[in-house]
Amino acid sequence: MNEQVIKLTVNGDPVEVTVSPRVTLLEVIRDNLELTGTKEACSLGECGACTVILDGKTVNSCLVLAVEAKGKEVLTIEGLGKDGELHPLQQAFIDEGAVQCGFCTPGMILSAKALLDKNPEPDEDDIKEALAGNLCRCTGYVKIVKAVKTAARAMKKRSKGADA
Amino acid sequence: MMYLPRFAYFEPETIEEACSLLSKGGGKARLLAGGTDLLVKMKRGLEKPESLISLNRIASLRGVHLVGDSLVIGALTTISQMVDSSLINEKAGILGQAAGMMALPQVRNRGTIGGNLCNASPAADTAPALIGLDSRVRMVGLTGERTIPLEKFFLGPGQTVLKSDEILTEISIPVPARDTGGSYQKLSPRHNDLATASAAAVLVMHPDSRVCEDARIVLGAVAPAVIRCYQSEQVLKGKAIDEEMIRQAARAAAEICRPVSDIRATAGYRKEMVLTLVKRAIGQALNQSRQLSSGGKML
Repeated sequence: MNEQVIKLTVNGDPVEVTVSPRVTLLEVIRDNLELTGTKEACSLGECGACTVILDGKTVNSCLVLAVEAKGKEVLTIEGLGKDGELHPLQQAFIDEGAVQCGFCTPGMILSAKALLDKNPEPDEDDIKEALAGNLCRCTGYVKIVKAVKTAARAMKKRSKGADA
Repeated sequence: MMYLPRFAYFEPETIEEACSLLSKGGGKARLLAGGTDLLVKMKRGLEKPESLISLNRIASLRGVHLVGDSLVIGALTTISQMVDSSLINEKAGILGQAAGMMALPQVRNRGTIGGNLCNASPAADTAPALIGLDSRVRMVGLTGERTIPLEKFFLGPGQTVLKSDEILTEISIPVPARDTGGSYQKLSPRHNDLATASAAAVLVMHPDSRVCEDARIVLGAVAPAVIRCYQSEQVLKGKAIDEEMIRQAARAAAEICRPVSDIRATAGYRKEMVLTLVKRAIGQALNQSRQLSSGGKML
């Protein structure tokens, strides 16, 4: 049924998979690439558990056909840490107690990353708007928002340090 | 895992190719833009197309441009691109405002304006704003193209005038006169939820006097399609608008809407809310146009 070989970049690495058109990017990430940090919950683009960053923008990977992602760059949660070190967002989520069951966390962190990439000093409303597409059943969101603020401060300090 | 059913997949590179594939599909083909409506319906078993025709290779369908005195928005422009567009924010602020209130960031990054309009939900946020701005839509088919006012595009929930071989290619908005104020008011549990009721008001004010030269009042989610309230507009046109006229215009709008009762609200509640939403929309549109006359930027 018209299978295609598609090439894309995932977490900086070139990837080639053979898929039929009905396969979603989420399935490729989890099943073909075995990157299981990205989760499936609602499957209908309402909860954000499957959030990845596609060509710089957050998307619900459950609603992106893999064939539509060819030639594009995908960032999953696994792509965030560097050389065994956690990204400031990951560290902040741990430090602020923003992780309970952890199921929403990969998607939350990626949505937060997309926000901080665009707006390094968000206020509380900016954070809530940016995370509006990620549902959490455990935490009540308060610590998640705090973690994003903490990460923003840490990242600002880090970039100041780099400039000095 | 919720899987998609099988389908044949095509990636035409031109509009003509896409129309041809659509026509050959004999009603069993669907166009794929952002996929945020179509793929959801397919996962739920509500749509079972035999083939999907992706429009995403057709570059001419994207982008926001100023063409003469019209703002032209390609059908594949994403909702996020509209929210971030400086052209739209400068010249058609109410559209940026409405687009920013819909769905969720991840959905806005993929969903397209063409897909949103063709999905024809009576509760869509973009349609009242676009109709308020007097927009036109261009449709291309095998035998040619046609352009119609957006208010004539919708027939009912999920139904548009598009023929089986036609593709909506662009939306054009006549650049509003300088002293135009617009406001989109939406009632929903959280901003991004589907509207329970909504109202858009666009007022063109005379620059020197406080007389309203033209008005467009549009309601969403309170009828089988988005509706224009001509009676409300008549109350305001050619007058120096005061509080009593705003109340009258709001009452006229509440009278003509035909809402249903559903999981979100009763018909009676929706009618009540139309009164408030229209008053607020007119009030804010007026304030905005005043700000503009005194040199502010259109929001």
